[in-house]
Amino acid sequence: MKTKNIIAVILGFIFYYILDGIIFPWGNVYAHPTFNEVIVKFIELNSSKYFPSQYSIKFSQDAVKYKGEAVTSPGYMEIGESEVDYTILEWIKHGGFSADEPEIPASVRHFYDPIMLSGSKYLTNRGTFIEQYYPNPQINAIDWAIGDNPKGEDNNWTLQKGKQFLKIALESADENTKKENAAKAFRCLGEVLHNTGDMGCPPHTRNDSHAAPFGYTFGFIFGSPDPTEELLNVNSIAIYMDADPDPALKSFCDNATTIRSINEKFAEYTNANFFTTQTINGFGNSLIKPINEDGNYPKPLVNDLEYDSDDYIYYKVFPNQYKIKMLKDRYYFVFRGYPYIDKECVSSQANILVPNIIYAGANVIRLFIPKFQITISSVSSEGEIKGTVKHLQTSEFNSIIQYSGKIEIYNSNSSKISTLECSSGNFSGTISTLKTDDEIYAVLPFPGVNVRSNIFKVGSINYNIIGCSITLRNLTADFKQAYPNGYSETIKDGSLSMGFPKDDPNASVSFLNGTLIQEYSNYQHTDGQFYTEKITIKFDGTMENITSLIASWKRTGNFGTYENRITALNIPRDKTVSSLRYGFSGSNLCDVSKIVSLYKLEDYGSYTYSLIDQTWKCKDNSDLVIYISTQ
Amino acid sequence: MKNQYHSFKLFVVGFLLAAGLNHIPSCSNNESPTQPIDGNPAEYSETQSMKNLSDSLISAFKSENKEKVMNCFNEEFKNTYQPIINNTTKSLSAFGTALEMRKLTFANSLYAEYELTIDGIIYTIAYANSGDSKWQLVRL
Repeated sequence: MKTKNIIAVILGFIFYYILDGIIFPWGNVYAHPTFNEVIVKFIELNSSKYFPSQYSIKFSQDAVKYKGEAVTSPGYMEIGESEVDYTILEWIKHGGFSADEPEIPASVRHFYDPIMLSGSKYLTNRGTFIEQYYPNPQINAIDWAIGDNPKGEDNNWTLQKGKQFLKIALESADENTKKENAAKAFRCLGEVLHNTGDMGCPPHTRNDSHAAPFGYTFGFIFGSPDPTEELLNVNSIAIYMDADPDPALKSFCDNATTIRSINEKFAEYTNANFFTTQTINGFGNSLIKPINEDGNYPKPLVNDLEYDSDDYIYYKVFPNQYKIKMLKDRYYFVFRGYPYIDKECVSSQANILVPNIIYAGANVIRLFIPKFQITISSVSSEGEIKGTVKHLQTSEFNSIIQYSGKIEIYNSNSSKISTLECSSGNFSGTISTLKTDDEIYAVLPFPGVNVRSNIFKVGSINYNIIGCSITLRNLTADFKQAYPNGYSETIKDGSLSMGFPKDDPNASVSFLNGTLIQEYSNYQHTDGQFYTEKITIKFDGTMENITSLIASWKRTGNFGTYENRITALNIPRDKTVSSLRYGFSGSNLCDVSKIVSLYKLEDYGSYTYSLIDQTWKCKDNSDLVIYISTQ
Repeated sequence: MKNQYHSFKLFVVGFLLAAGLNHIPSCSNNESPTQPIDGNPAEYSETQSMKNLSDSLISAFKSENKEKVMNCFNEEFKNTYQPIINNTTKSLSAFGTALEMRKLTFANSLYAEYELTIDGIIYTIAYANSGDSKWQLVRL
């Protein structure tokens, strides 16, 4: 009996490893959908790094099915598509698969040589050989995936089309139209992420054609399979989620404003840092020439690697200090022959390649999701709610999206209390049960993404701030300054100068319950570095005193990232702010009495943050605009 | 029936035990970046078409027939390996003998890697096909 029990346990143990041991290469059936899924999970786990705090990213939790056209009959030259119901995560994964369908046309459109060694960015390796059987479309992978020029026009699932589908989904009030276009949009995202994955795969960036899909009779025309692509253990990629991407690439991705730039930079990085078996050159034991005649890339070079003669391995130490096995040259028949990439090298290189793909992919998703600011503007004593959905333009979405559709209202217990309709960015409705001091917030529900407003206290006055310009010059106060290494210092009577551009789409501003927050994200200064600045000013209940002021900077450049933070508490009135100005638009029509708190500030013009030169006007006879300035 | 259920439960316990063990990281990547996260102790099997290539290679090496060896190579790699085979002073038949004891360390539909041990030293070789199941040597 005991023996039987042990055998049962052992069989279960073995069965697991048999299942786990099924290895999948970097292909469309398994690898790309898996990469896409891991990227989605990574961004969900780290959403606060990629999205404003009002965003909730939950692609993998959204169980709603969205009907759309999917590749249901894959093929080499022809495919079949039919209507299926997938969740958003399934559409993103499907895009990873469908980008390679039909497989033969896809296999010659998924190459991008950033340095154009053969004179073009598209695949030319084995060109004359391939062209006897299949005409070279002369389209590179990024043009094909992004679709922002004529080279990508024939691709129905480009980034450009995905953004159009997303805009339609967001602007349509019809639920079916929303869902139908959401499905298309996220399939497009999945196909773009496929391109990102390919740009992290050396042969795709080094013009190294490799084998066609298994079973294709004419596969030989594409050449031999690439070891990196075949030997990568896709089953294990999720465990690289905590590994560090290359610091320079990470910094670039963090600050990128377009998806094209991420994929292009990523291709440059992969091309310059990794070999393929047929594009190895440099000086090792002797002069090494690449097997591919058109594979003589300037970087990396064998002679730039560290060679360990004990194990016949060429190593490269990457900037994150990972020491990676790049090549081996041990042979039985000869002392050190043409270097090669084996399974051990591929496993080692995965420590760089896979985190890079995950990180670049996460930033692709960041840029693919439009940015909105949801605001509850007012709640009347009868419970009538008014609010706005403002689209914050970005480089990817530079034409205004006027949201139409559902807006959900939640109470402070996060219970949904009503669903209102939004039309072209404005929502309204009545919730008769609301009482003074109730706290509510609004949520824009979108497939896989929720965007919420700040909490609105019923009975309070909220202001939309438009055209905000904060300039603090020579604010003298006692500051505590904290540095990224943990060191901090107190500065007596220090001074602070800080300015934000006016009306800049990158600036997000809020003023609620006496707290003014302005954040200016990722703008590139003339020094070439990227800055994120945030200032939070808390006023007391009378709006007469600043109770705290926190200013922070994050600066990213070639040297890495530098963060700084200044905190000043209870700034006394005898300190000076020579300039503090900002503009508000009230939610109600030109009703000056609604800004009584701000008006009071003017009365204290001789005090600290004196707000003189206050003026106001009605803009288009609708919103109230006030500019307060001391300049 | 009760016994079968009991055995099934133990089978599941074994399965979960293996899954648990497989996901306990011995050290994080940051702590030991030079110890890359690798795949798993997979069991691979040599298909008949791969075995056919292995048999051809064994025959070619054991007969010390360099031309036959080169005939097993993929065209793209012949120029690289031809001089190695032509100029080697090492025993081809010893390599053929080692091939008989080859250990398959990776295989999918397009690519396979083997380990051979000669005089206590491990060498790797690789086979590949271009999607047509015509396996050829791409590295030795």
